[in-house]
Amino acid sequence: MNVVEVSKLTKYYGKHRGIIDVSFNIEKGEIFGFIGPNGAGKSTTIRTLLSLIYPTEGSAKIFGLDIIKDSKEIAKNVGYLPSEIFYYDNMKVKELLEYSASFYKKDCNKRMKELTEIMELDMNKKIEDLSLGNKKKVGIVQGLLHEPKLIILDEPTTGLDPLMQQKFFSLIEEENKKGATVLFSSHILNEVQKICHRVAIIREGKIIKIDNIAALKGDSYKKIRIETKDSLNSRLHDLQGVSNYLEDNSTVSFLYKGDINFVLKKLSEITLTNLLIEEPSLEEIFMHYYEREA
Amino acid sequence: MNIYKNELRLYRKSTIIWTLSILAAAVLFMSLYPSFSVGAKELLDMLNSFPKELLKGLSINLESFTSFNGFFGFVFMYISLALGIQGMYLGISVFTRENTDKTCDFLHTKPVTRIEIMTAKLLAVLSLTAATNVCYVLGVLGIAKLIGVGDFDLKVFLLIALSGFIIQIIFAALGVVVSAVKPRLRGVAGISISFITAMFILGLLSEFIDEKFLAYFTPFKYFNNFYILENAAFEPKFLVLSIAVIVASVVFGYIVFKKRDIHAV
Amino acid sequence: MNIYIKEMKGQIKTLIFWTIGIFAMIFGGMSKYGAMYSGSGGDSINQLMESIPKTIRIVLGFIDLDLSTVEGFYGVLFGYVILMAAVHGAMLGANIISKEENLKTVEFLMAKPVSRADIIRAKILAGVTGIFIFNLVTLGTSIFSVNFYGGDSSADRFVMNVTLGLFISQAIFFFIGTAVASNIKRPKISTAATMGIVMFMYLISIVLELSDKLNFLRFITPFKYFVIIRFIENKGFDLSFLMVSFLIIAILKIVTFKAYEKRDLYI
Repeated sequence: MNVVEVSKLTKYYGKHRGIIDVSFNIEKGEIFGFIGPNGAGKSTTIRTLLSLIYPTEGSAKIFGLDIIKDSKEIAKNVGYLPSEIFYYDNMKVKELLEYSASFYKKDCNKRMKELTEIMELDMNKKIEDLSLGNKKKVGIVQGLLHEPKLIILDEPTTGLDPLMQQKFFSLIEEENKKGATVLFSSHILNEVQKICHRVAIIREGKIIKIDNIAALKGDSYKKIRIETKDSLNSRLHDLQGVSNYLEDNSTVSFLYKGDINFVLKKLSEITLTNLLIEEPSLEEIFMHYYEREA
Repeated sequence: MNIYKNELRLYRKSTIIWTLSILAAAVLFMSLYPSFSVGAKELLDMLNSFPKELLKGLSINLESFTSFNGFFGFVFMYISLALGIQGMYLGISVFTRENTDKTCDFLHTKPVTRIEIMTAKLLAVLSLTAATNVCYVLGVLGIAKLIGVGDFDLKVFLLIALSGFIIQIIFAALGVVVSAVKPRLRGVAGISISFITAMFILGLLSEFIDEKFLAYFTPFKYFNNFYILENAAFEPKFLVLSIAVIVASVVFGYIVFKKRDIHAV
Repeated sequence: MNIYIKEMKGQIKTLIFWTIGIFAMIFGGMSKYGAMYSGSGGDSINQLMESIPKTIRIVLGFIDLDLSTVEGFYGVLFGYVILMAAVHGAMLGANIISKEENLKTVEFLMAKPVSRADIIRAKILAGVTGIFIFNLVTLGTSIFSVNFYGGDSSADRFVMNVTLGLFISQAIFFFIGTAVASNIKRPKISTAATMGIVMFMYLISIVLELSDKLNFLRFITPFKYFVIIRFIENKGFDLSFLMVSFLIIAILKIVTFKAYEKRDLYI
């Protein structure tokens, strides 16, 4: 069953592109990564799903409900954690969390308590006196206290120290095990790699790839690096399946996709001093997608 | 209900300060009433000895203008200035504050519709302004009792006071329009004060140079104390205009608020 | 210099808005001079008026100036101008100091090689320039309107004196704004607090109109430092209030500098 179904979502800000024809589905119980550089359209997509902004064209459904018409119904089971957190002045942490809980017609007290303990939050401090990281924690707690079925995270780890990031990720994974579906937007690939099952890569407003993390990394791409004694006068970069070709003095590195025997045969024609063949990191694949499209 | 309560909480302090200031100003002015009433009495006695033809030039009913209500009508002019500022400030602020404090994402991802949010906020504005009005009116009545102003027409008094509340709501509604057009407006207090002062001066000017058409542009002139004093009623055409302005502004606000994109911080 | 230029650019829109308002009001208002009141000052009515106690005249909306003269008529309009000038000046003062904190640009500015005193000096200079322009426009508009609708050269002198008084009063309001803004803890409420003070002063000035007994209160409201009637009667400036004005401006300026240098900046 799909928790999120996005079909041909398009958003223009006046003449400026937001997103174009974005389509993807998120299955129940999935942690779905959403990656792309700044300005690619990650936040636009998320804000449209939350009906903070309205699409120019296309539609989307969450829990099978229309995001515009049924936004209130949807919001009952969605937890959202924005990248930057600002809350009402003059409110204590406790007051803010209680205000947040008051929107849901259920008792959130128990969960609120658990979460604040995990996050080591001081309930009696004023929010405006908190550090950025601590404000972030308040954001995490208020986004999760009603035990949402869909958790939407927009670059959630900025401002958290590594220890808290760890705690945060295990919290998300725990929620996921309990059945929550997660949409996780980020430009930090490491994070995505760590917890996501599938990812969508977005660039200049368009989705350019959706795949399993494993498949993406595998995807029969190999990262090959060679060192030669003499300068290389072979035309390796003209070979089919070669991308991200980099040459630096006697060292050459590239990504290869295709028949491994074929490239080995080619390499054997060169006098090598060193050879390294490895799985590329997600980052390299990411760059690969970007450069190829550019 | 929770949004409504939160708005009341956010503006509680400033509303209390504002109400107390209005009350203090009212007290200050009212303390001058005794000397005014003595002078008024002498004046009326003296006028009776003047030839009737001369008094026609004044073309007003001095009796009612030198009464307690007449004096209150004068004081009221400045109270309405303060009420206007408060009204417009609240009208703009409740709708721009979520943007400038960047709490929009928080509020709008909760299970509430935008209509519900806007309605709760409008009700909060209505409650805060109504509370201010009730407080200062009771205060003035208390002082009137205290300094012994004698009998006066309570209906006329309340009508004058009510006109202040309506003026305040007009400005609050105009504030809603401002917030709809400029959702991220900053310096709301300054803008409200400038605008209201300009409106107030326009009102004074329209009276001074006797240009009736200018009165249509400033809600301060929608209610004429002289008219209320003489007729114990509002001028119908301006009452209709007031309601029209309020309804049109609020409807406009709802339409824009419902459709607006809420942009990232 | 760069701060000064930025502040000038920052205030230009408000300045245009206010000066257009001033022009419309003075020119539009003066157009009614002659058509309305000249010649209406019959002796018997005047006599009647004078027998009415001042409080009652004010409450009934009668005006204490001779509206058949161009100076008297202009004097009424001037009462509106000074209220506008006060609002503009005070808000400019409060805003010019606290806006760096409100717009969160204060870190940017403080990281530059300028001292706090440099910043305040540039800002105050820009503010005073703005007020100067405000008054220049008022003066130009007034002289033009007064001449256009029948004043003579003696009216020019009168208008010049009045505008000088306006300039000094507005400067006081401006420095009230800067002093409040650099002393107040929460920069967000500096405009509101300043305007509270201005409104209070305005109300006091109205109360003073009503009663002569409270005349000693004149010192606490700059609205009453330069009264129009003195200029109409050709008595010139009231020296004691001129001194008081300069003293207040000097004190407020020092307070502004001292407080801003010690201030914890909020972001």
